[in-house]
Amino acid sequence: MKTSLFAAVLMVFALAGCGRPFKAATPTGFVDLGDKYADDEYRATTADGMVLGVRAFKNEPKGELDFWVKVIENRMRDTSGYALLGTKEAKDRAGNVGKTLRFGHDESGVPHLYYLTVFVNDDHVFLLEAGGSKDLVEKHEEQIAWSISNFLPN
Amino acid sequence: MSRWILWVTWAVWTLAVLGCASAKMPEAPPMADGRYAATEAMPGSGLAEEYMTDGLAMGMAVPTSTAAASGSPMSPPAPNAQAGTGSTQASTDTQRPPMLVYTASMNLAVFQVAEASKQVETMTREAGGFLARRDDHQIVVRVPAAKFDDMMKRIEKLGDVLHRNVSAEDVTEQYMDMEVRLKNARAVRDRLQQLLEKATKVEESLAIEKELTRVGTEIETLEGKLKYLRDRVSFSTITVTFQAKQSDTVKPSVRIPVDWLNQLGLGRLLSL
Repeated sequence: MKTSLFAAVLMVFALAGCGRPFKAATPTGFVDLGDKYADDEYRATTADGMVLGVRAFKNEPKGELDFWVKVIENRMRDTSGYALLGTKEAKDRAGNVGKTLRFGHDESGVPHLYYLTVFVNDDHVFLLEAGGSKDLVEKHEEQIAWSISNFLPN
Repeated sequence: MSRWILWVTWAVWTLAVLGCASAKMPEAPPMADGRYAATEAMPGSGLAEEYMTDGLAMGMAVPTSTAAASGSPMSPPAPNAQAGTGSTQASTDTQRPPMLVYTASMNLAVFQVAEASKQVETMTREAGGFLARRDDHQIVVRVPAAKFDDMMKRIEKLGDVLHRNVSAEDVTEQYMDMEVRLKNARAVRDRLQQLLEKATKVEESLAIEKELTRVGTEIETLEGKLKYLRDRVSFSTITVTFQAKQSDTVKPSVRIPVDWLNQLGLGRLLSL
């Protein structure tokens, strides 16, 4: 009896430790690619190639939202050659404040847009990505905004 | 005959002496903003042509408040652009703000060069300016001097500024010098015309007409130069050179040793 109780407790802890540390929201027109990716990653796509992604990383070294936003902005602009087109405050479903960075970049001569939304809590840095050709991203602006405002960290 | 030649010689001498003296005129005191805004109320296109056709009577541009209050597209004629008295001219000269020619060049790293170039042109037209030249990577625009600062700020927002150069050339003395020379040349022309009317001999008439032609040419040259200067003062020139922002390094930065930062970007996201 004691053994099975212990096993059950272990199972609960194991299950609690598994899975994504967030709940991603899949907007209309997108398909959740689910189990094809690691536990800390979410991907969804439209049929024509507009992709959404969410990833969670440990908040190490521990930093505030502003720190990570600046680090990411510098990395994208200075090293990766992305053009920062604008920044905007974002809020998830729980009311946590984050920031969306809008980048532009040419891929094989075709202008693309890449949106990176950052949320930070004590344990994790959450990155919500949205990217595709400029036309596609502009066409799906509403869905992108919806997926951000309905994102929920665990 | 000799009396007429003496008259002509006197006229030429007067012109030369007054012309030289004008170069020593005092410089006008600077105004607080140092800008000319007579072109503020000008229509949005074909500005330079309209401005130029106004001719010599226009004189210098006036500060913003005057132009706005009068609602006139051009400043009123400057008294010393005509044959005025010395005291009137001196008083006007000391009140004149400096005539500054603003020129700027900017190197900009942008996401889409063609679109950024188009945006600069649109902003220029909105500001009442016009396109001077454009190629694949560069655009040269002329904007009303009063909108110069505003335009620079708006252009800077289109991308990362890699290099910026702004200069202001003071052409006040040059302008005043030419204005006085023009006034004197006109006075000489008027006097020569009076002499021509009184001439009784063919030789006298021929000599005076020859001098009239020379003075006329000088007047036209001076008028052209004054128009050119006014245009340069009224419209600032901004040259924007675009650089496509691909993998260029804009500025050095500290690299935080976090692996996942290297996994950002469209390449990874779009590889499903």
